Amino acid sequence: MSQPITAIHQFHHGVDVGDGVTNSMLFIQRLLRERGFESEIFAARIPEPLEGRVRSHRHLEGCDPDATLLLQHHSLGHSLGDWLRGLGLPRALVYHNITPPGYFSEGSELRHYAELGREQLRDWRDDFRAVLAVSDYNAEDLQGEGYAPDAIRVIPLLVDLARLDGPVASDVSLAKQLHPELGHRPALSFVGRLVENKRQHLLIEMLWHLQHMLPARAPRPMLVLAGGGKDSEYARFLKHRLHQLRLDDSVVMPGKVDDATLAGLYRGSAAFVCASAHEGFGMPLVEAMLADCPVVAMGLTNIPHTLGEGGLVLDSEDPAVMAAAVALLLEDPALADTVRAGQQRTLARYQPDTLKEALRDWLVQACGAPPM
Amino acid sequence: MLRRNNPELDIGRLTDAMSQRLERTEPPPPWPGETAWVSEGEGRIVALGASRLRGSAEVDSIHGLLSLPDDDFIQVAHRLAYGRLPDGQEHDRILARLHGGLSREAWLLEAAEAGEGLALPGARRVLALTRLARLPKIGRLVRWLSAALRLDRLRSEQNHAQRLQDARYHALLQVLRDQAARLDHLDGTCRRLSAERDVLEQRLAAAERRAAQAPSAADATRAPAGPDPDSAPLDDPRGRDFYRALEARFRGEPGAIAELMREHLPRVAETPAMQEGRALLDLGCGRGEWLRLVEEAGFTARGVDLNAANVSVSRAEGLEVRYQDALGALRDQPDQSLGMITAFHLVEHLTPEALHRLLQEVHRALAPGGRLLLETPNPHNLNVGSCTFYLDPTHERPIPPEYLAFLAEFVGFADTAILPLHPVGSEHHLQEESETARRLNHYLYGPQDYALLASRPHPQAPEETPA
Repeated sequence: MSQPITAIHQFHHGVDVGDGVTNSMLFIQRLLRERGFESEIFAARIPEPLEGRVRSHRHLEGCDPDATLLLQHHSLGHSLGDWLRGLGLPRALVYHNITPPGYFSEGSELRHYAELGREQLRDWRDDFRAVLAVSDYNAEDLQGEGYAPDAIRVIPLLVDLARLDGPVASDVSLAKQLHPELGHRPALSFVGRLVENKRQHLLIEMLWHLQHMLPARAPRPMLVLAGGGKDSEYARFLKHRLHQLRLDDSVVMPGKVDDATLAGLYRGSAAFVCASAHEGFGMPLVEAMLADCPVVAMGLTNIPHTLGEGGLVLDSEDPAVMAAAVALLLEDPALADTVRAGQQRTLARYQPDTLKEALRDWLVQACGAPPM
Repeated sequence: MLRRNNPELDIGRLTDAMSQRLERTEPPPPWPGETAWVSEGEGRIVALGASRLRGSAEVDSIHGLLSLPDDDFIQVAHRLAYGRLPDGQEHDRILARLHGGLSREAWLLEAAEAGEGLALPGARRVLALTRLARLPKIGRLVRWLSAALRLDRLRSEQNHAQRLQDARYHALLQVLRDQAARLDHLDGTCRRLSAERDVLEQRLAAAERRAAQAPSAADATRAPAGPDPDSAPLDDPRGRDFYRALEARFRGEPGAIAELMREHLPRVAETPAMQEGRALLDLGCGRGEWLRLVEEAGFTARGVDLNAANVSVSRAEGLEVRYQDALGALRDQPDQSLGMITAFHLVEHLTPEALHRLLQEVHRALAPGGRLLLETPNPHNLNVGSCTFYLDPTHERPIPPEYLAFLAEFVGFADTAILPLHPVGSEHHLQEESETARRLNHYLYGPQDYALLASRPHPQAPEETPA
């Protein structure tokens, strides 16, 4: 390396508003710019709201290999692997986890890209100057693909906790935004794409159990499943199932919601419930904790790591068990307070300053960036 | 059940409380199957991955077993009788026999005798009955009796099935509704695009005609260009395009038409009922040139037309236009509600009876102080009355201005006025100062159109007349 690095850019195949990977890229970009680096985000698929903040990947071709470091975020396969390699830029991997292909229907596009993503991860083993995993679970995943354990640094997904803290956030009325009955019925919420591995169907069954467990005079809780994918096969299955369980008036599927509604949802919910079978990190869990919303989750993959002392973590995957835990939470305010206190202790790990410090260390020590 | 992740949680107490609640819970209604779900009619499978919690269905009585769906029944019964699940071939064989008319009870008896028996509450009785039913003579009686005893249960099962059926029907109905809404939306888009295409084609044709005519004028030896009237199709099967083309050739460009209409704007502004803020309704509003002028002058204007392409184009430009016939539109108006009603080159398309009805409806719908403006070809111009009027094959008959004025007064209008419009340019006149020339100029080159302007009078207020 003849000259010091002056630019640290980032690449991810696709970006989207509210997407965890994109948020982490924006967070890293802010840190890098604060430290005087030139720092851009490049992507192949850029939705309209992000045009201007994210540049087309083609512009990477003009970068000076001697003065540039590229942080390559990876969460799904794509067709630009060879092109990236051909750029000749020094690269570091930021691994966000790939959903195991088995969770997608056979022959589906997502399945193909999940498989391709793993294959690429294996192929690229020796390509990177340094490797960052956003969670312990992801680090194990990388080791499984042949990456050397001591070369992997774990920094919890670099997220912008301030995003959900806007002034409008607390004024959002769930009754007005999502469903009129949320004005007087407690809301349980989950945030995430309607997709098989998030297992929203277990949450629906949990709600059925819960409504049967609670005394008849208690207001019947509702379930809000926020997240895209409303037109998928799985979403239709969910509708069918909730209809079969006579829960049509108790489950709201508003699709993807904006930041203000999201913040209002976290704040206004009696509990955040998560039955997901697979979370590489589980950003919504952190967001819920930040909004002081008690979490009840099945303790699979990285979820226990992400929650730390926070939330009620279940060993069982039975929706009835989850319903029992939620019932306790609804009826016992002291328990909810204890859970919230644990969540606050966990959040300290995700404070921006802590994360920035860890990221700075990694960039300097592992990636060869100049001291900052 | 709960992990000890938080030192402040009393896991023991919480687990006890949860177990207590779980004891009181009933099992949920039967699943259609967690591992696979076949979507409505499409047969695609949703993979629920590692989410499978239960194995095959659990039953706690022989009745529960007998009421399982075929596949579950075979799996569970086979496991109970033989201590293992059937393999694919066995499963298919059993299914085939059941579908072939063998009763479930008979197969259970067979399996229980061949295997390890059937350890389920109530199984002994059912198997014994089945065994009896196999006997040659009393079997018939036993079958009959047991069938009678089972009637109640069958009825409740039938009700349950009916409810499920209803639920599925409603779910499918919803899918249909969604699809219908989507189709509507697509239809709308199609109509709009087709209207836009019509307009573009017309403009293209006009441009081509102009381009073709220019050189042929310069070079008379060249073969005549432009559409050949013999070979060009006279009429589009749908009629609409034909009429639009006819209009484009003989009526003029929208800009030119708007210029001609502009002279009526002061009449709108002077109308008392319009000054009160009431709306103007234009019947047969065509491409909306007049509506646009009225709106620009600060009044509210609505229109109706029977040409779908015109309606779409006008709507796309933000005008309030409906696809409706003039009489229908008038009948929809409340009594005395409108400020002004206009119709340009519409009445000559009506039969005398329809015209009469139209005027009656107009009179009813106009507010006192409201005005009617009808523009139509002027048969006093002999060229119009004897020739150009018939350029439009959908014209009924020329309407002499005197007749139109009479009709208006007859249905109750007052202050009727005939406004001569659009005289032929003076360059065509006979340039001669004689009575003959004056008369010929009047009859041949005088106003080609006229407008009838009439008011609906305010009702006489008897209490105001001095006693």
